[in-house]
Amino acid sequence: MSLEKFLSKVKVDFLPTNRKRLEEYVQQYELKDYFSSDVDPKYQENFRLGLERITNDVVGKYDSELRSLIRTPVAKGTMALAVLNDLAAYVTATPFSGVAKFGFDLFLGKTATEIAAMRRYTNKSGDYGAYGRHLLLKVPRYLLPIIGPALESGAFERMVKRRIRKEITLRFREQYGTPLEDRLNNKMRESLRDNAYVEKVAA
Amino acid sequence: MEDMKLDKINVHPVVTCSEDDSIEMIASKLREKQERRIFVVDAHKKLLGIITTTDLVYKVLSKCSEAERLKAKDIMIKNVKALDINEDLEKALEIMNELQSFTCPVTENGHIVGIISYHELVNHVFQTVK
Repeated sequence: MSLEKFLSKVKVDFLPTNRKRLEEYVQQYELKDYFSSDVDPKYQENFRLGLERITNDVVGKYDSELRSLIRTPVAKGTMALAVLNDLAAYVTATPFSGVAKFGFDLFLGKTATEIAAMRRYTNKSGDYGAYGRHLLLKVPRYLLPIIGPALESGAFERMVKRRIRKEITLRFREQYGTPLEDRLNNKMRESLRDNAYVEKVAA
Repeated sequence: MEDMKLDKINVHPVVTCSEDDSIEMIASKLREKQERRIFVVDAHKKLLGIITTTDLVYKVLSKCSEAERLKAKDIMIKNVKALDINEDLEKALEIMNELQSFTCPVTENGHIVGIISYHELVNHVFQTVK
């Protein structure tokens, strides 16, 4: 993955959900074959409108999982506490006393507030793999002092955003078809056996 | 059966001989089947080598005095690059490119199955993806 692509992905995942930014990222990296300079501008405009429609649909579908009046303040609080503690430790050479316990309490609180959103997310997406990974990653994040809660902050939303990107790409490809180049590459990866008719061997 | 043949890459049958076959026998097989290459195989059809009409000219006609004593194994090209039938189509193109040839021998576990052509492979790929 190029650094440019990595930074764009980080921007999309870590900054607040912005449909335009999401669209630009998908257009530039995930669906670049549809928007490259050698594609007729007339088709590109059609693809752009389609992408806009699909992005709105998918973001709308996961809207309630992206923001929550309870989850967001708890997550932000965890993050803020980690940063403040780091700053205090840097200035005074001593971290806040009892901050680890408070951070973990917030961590547990956040996990509890996620349960309902998680259920909605898995019902909508069927993405139990991501759900499992998110739960597994909670263990090291819980064990890491200070930085763990900071990483945990927004982890759920980042998972939802990854799903949104994936769903936009999949839906777009389903509706507009896979580009010829991809279809050719996939075909060339098939075995000869699946594509061959074997005539009898001559003596 | 005919439909099945049309939308698939035909693996054409090949002419084979054993490594102890005489040059005369090889030449007569090639003439009879109107082929330009013959595959040298063992008793289990395992591919050992290939002889083309060019080999007959360069390696046999140029040594007329020894021609009667020569066997397939004396003039065959050994270690023939071939595509296993379970390998992908991309590999077939790689082999053709490497051999600078428009055909590619096909084997299954080292045993000769037939031969495919570049034209049929490309035609099949474009027909099925368009």
